[in-house]
Amino acid sequence: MNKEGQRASTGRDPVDDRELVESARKGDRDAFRTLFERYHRRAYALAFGVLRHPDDALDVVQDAFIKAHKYLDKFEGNSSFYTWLYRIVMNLAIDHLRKHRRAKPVELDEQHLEEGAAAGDDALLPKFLGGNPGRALLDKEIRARIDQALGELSENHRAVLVMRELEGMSYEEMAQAMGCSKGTIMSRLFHARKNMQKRLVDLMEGRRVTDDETEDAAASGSRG
Amino acid sequence: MKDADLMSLADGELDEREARDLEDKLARDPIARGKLDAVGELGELVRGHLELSADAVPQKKFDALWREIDKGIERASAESESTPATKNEAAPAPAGFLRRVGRWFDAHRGHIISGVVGAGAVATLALILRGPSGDNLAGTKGSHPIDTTPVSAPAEIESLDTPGGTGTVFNLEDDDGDTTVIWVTPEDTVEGI
Amino acid sequence: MSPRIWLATLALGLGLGVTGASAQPKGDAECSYIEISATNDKAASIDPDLKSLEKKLKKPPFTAWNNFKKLSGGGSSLTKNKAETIKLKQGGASLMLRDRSATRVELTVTMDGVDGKRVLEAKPAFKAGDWLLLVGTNAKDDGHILALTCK
Repeated sequence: MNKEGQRASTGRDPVDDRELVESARKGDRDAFRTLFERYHRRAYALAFGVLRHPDDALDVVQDAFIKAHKYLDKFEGNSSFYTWLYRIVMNLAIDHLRKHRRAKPVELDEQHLEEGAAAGDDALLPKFLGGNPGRALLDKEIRARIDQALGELSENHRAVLVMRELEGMSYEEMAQAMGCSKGTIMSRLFHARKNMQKRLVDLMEGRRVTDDETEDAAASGSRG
Repeated sequence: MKDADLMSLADGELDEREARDLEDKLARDPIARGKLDAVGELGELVRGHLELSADAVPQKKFDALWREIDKGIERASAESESTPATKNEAAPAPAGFLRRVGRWFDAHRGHIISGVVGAGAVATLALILRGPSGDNLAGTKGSHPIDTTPVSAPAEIESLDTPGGTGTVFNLEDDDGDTTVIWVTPEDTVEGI
Repeated sequence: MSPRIWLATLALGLGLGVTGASAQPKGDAECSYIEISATNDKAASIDPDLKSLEKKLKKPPFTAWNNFKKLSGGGSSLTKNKAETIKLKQGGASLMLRDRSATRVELTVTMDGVDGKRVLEAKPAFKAGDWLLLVGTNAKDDGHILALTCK
């Protein structure tokens, strides 16, 4: 798993982005629009992953780009433009969760990471999809189940999972974004993954049973 | 082999020596290898799902979003030229204490340092607040996206620890000079985010 | 020195120390604090003793409350790297001067709640004469404000 590899997935030339930022700073709105066109969907994916509400996600993306434009002269170019932008998106998404907190149970199962990981029933599960997640994503039912499983996570768990899997943020970066310790981040991430796996493996086992029954029926029909 | 270590390996959080040691053990432990692969598998599912969800949003929604952003940029430019006194005026406060405070924060994002520190965390923040001439921005030693260049002689909060709560720092400007506010919100009002 | 002159000198020194009227030797600071309770009541009011902060308390975000009462107040003469305890009506606080220049003071400030638990520890650096407000809220959404200023 390569954090840097994940982050470079846009394939954008960072020099190109810096030129656009420079032009936008000088008032070139088209340059800023180009940056928007490049990154708006990725920013939306991040906000949607955390917030789970399309309209809220759009609001956060809107606010993030407005804020990014406002503080463009503070962007020093030490990181890529998108890295800078996604941090703004995350901060706003987390702010949004704080201010518009919907009734979600606090994760009572958030034991200390070591306890949780040691207990057999709370362990991570081995691979369950047969090594082809890309193909699985073509399946609407699997997509719906992933969506449902994400929605059933607590906001804390979902935020860390999204930050890690979508943006490849390190534990330290996530700890700073959420204002908690690295240990808490690790615990939340562990439980998020465990809970997602549990919800998804049920689906896969159900599908395997259904497929077996279908094969048996087909076989008996052909014999019959 | 602890699942926590497998997770750290999958996330690239181990140093070279630790990663190598763990990989050696994994070569002899197919179940642990399966768990490691499962973490990667789940990550691809979540990432792929979210990216596909974003792709599914019709482009016209994003076109409309750009129009709002464009307006927002215009408004922000106009606001930055208005006087400090008017900036500190708030709309009539709605019911609910935190909503009232939250509405004020929302209306004054450009003036508020988002130096938010979680419960029990000792965050070393270098929050630099601008003086009356401009906006208040946050700069931290961590991954906060906004850096600042102080214009006048602003207040600084070199570190902030708020056990059992979250601290937010902001600056108020008036005729008497700058007022720095450190606002601590108890933990039970932010837990479960 | 006669006892009368000695006593007069002592009294003058103490008076200057409390009021902060003397020129500050480098490394020292005279700080004043006001402890305030902030609530919402039927009638809005601001304690007359809070005149120096009235303008600020009438502005957002303090408009979350409409009633402000002074609970305690006083002064604290700070010497560099020596913490001074402040007894509050609700909890306690301590101040320590880390450094100062002609125009700025750097403090370490701690606040404890009524249950003795640490609520805040901060290291602010701000302009002498400006105010630092430490605000906490309780479960009933009432506010507790410690206002500090140093010269």
